[in-house]
Amino acid sequence: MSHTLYAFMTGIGFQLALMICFCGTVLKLLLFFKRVARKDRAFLTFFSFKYAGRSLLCHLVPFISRTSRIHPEMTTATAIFHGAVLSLPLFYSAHGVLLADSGLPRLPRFPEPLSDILALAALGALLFFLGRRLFLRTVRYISTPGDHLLLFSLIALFASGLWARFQMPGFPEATLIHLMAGNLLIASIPFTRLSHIFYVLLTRGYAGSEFGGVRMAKDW
Amino acid sequence: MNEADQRIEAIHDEGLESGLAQFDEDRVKKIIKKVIEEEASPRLDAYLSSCVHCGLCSDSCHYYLSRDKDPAYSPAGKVKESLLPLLRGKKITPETLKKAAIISYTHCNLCRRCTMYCPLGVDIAYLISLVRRICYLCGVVPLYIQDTANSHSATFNQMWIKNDEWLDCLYWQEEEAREELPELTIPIEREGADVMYSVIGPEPKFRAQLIYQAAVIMEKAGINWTFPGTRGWDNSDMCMYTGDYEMMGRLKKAHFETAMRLKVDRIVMGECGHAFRSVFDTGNRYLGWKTPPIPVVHAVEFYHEILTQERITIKKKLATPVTFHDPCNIVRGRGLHEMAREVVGICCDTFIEMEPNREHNYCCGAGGGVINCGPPFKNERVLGNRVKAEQLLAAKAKGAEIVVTPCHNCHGGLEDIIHHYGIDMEIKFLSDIIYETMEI
Amino acid sequence: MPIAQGTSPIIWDTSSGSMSCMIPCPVDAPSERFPFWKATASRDGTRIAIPIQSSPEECQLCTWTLGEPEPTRSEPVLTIADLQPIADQDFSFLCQTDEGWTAVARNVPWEFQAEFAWNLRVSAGGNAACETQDDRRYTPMVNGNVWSESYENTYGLTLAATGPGSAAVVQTTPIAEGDLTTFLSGCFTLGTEKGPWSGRYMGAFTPVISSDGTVAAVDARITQQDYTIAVNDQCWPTTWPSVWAPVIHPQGTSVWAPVKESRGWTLACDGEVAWPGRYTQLWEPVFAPNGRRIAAVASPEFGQWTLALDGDLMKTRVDGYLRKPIFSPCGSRVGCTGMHKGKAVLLIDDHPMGDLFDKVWDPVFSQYGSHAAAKIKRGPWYTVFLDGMAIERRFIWMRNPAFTPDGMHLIICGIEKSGAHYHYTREFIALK
Ligand code: SF4
Ligand code: SF4
Repeated sequence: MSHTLYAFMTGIGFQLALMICFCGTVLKLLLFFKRVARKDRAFLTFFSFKYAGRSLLCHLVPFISRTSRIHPEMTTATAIFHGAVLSLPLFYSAHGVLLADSGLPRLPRFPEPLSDILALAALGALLFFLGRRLFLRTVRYISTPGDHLLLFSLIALFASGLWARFQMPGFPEATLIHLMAGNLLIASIPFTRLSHIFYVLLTRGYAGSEFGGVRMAKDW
Repeated sequence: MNEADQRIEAIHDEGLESGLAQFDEDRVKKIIKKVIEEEASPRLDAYLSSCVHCGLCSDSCHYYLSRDKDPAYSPAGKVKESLLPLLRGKKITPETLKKAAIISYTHCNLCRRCTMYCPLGVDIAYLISLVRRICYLCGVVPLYIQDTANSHSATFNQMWIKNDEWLDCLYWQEEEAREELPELTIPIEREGADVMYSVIGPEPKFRAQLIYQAAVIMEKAGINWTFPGTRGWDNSDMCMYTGDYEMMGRLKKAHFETAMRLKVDRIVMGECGHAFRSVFDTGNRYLGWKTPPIPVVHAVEFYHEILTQERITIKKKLATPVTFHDPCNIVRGRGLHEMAREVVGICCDTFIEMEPNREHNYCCGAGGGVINCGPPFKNERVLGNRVKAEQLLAAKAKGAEIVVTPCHNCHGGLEDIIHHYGIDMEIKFLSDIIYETMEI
Repeated sequence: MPIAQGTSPIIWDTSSGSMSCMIPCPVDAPSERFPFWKATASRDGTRIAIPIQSSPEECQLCTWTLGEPEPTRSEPVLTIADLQPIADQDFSFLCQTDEGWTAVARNVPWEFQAEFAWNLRVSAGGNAACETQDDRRYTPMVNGNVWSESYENTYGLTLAATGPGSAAVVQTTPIAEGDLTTFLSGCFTLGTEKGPWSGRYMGAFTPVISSDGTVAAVDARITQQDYTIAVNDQCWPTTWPSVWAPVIHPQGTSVWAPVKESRGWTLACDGEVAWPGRYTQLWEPVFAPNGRRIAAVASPEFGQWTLALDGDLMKTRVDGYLRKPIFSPCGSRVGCTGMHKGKAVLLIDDHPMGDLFDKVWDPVFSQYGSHAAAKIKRGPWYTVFLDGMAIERRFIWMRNPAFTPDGMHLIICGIEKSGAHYHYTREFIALK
């Protein structure tokens, strides 16, 4: 049973998740641009790659923007978490093997200790996020059940991943949980808050375009 | 019930109440549907689905900071309390709408500071404007700002000024100014002039000396300029802030039409921030003009130009130490902060910065039409901007005695703050200090 | 405030050669301060009038006539405003004396004195009208006669081109500051010399009146969110979220106006949508004098402007703006002015002409449309742009050119500098 599930999760399930993620994203973007063309011509007129790029850069690179400087802990946690969640799926060695098995070209692989440290740090960052959601009045105020669910899925993803990696007791189940969480998260990207992964290019980009191109002001 | 909610509950405003008396849930829902489907940019969806509820925008908002970090005043918190119940709530009650109206009209200055602090670039001011649009279409708008919008509809200016009163004020100021400069004219309807000078309603109504000063500055700088003699002289726009975009379009058309009819090269506008926003990116776009059809130059830019080109000269710099308050709409809205500082530098001996400044400056609390919502909301506005008072006090401690700010709204906002927190400081326009220090 | 827009074709005295007279620069006024911008030429071009400050408090209207060496000077008054030509050789203006404001038309002051007068209008038919305020009551006047009623406020007084009619937006009830209820109940309507309409609107904006004065219309705000067009005291049955100023068919048979549908702006006629297209913007509709064609300024796409002629878009697009189109008297040609890439353009029948001027005024066409001319400004000089070419003259002031009714000549009137003085010239340019 667990073998079939494992095979499914690393095979068709994974492909399906990627497909859903890809198609969903394309669909969302198509819809966005269709509506923009109809209702918000200013968006297309004023979007500037130069200023969008400038703004994205200043907000992505930690400690450039003022907002990142006045929240150093959050900036550090965010940087670590995003670094890990974007790199480990591709460059962690065990993932690399699986990816190569499914026909993808061989990618460079992180040394084990680096992956371990990254994953642990990301888990720490997630717990920090959880702490903020639970204990910071302002963040608690705007948090929704969906936010908590997402955070728990991510914690589950990293925790089970580490569990499996260190082959602690019950690790086959942990592996399954890891795969399941991973696939679900990938599939849910276009339909949840995770859509900020692609929307940020448009939202931050547009803010940057308006500030830089029209209003001649910095926005970081 | 939290404190913010209690304050909202306690508000009694005739405009809101009379609109709510007509409340009909089906109609409200239809309006919301129409706004979302026909008008709202898809950015709305992008913002709402990508906001990760991280709360990083909170520390950017002066309301939040001044209210001891009460989450109900955080930008994302305000969206949660105003927009989301309208979009996602199954049932919409008069209370929902009232709360949305109070938050959107009086707890947010649409100052766009939070957009700089949200890593994802969520434009909270846009979301809050959408709430205002919905409230306006439902007829639920605070009395004072609606009255101003009515004045716009009736007279095309902010202050119910009739055409003869406008002309009378210009003749009167010309007469006054001739006592100082016998050659001076205030040219009215000079077709083909280089510059059309436009102002906001309160200038002829309460601050006619600003028209006088502008005329002296224009005369001394040798500018070929004119005032319009018809509707269109007023560049202000509270309709943009109530959500009455149709009327906003009508006002801006009248303004630009007047400039086109007078065949001027550009419009120079007085020291006002919201009017700049209205002519520079909001009103013109609504009408289909990408940029203002006639170039618009804010007073700061204009003064900078004539001072750096030495068209006027400064006789003796002002000795009193000054500080400068950056108006959101021309700083985050046009990047005029450096020019303004240069102008202040040319006219004043000692300049003391407030912190944070430039694009990061806190709003005066009056912007976005908030001060125009009138006395029922004044307390909230002043208490909601304690951080500004702290900024001013810090500047004062370093010696600043005058705060210069080139915006009428900022004057109103800062005046109330200075009064409430007992800060002994004078507020001046750039034209005040230029007029005071220039060679006449 | 009205601005003299060229001349209407009338019988010219002579079309032979040019005439000019000298305007000596007043000894006490530095030349650059001489208020040429206030100058106005009579319709036939034989006279030119300039209000000149005679002392810091007073001014006089100085009128030079071709062939006469000395100007005539009016009595000194406090202010002269809204100077414009009336009939063939005369002027009309508003003036302020110690007793108040009055209007002077054809050299005759009207009998009334008001606290204030403004917006002097002169029709092609030779009627004059203005808005006045006395004792906080607002009353328009036509040819020296007050309207039958006075109001809380008036706005946009307009005169029928040939007939005697006049119309203005009037406010019938006072609105106290902060009184939303009264405002919502509707305090505005259209008034004519005979009295106000019976309908009351929350707002009314641009009154228009047919040339014989029998049809009047206005764009009205019916409720806070609904607009429509009211014609002779009757609202169209349909409302829209917004509308722009209407235009009346030259024969007075129909009224047209741009209206905002959910998919964009379009043109409606007598309450029904008449054009198939929907545009980002559509305004300033104009009829050809014969009523066979209608043109309007349209924005087919955000930031792009063109003319729509009978519902079809022209090809030329500008990125700045376009002004109200102008038809030739015969209706076969249409032109308009505007701005493209920050430069003034003149559009004649879909052909853009630019680069030759910094500013351009509305074009005029000869009777049968074979010639087009416009006043232009290049650097500090004014001249005339005729059929695609600029005439090599350097006027420091000029009025709009006009064609003689026979279409044989273009008449230009302007002031040139010669030595220490200025010359006013009226010149007939023979057309091929
Ligand atoms: S007041 Fe300014 S910072 Fe606060 S929510 Fe509104 S736009 Fe954002
Ligand atoms: S608006 Fe931006 S900063 Fe504020 S909670 Fe949402 S994502 Fe975070």
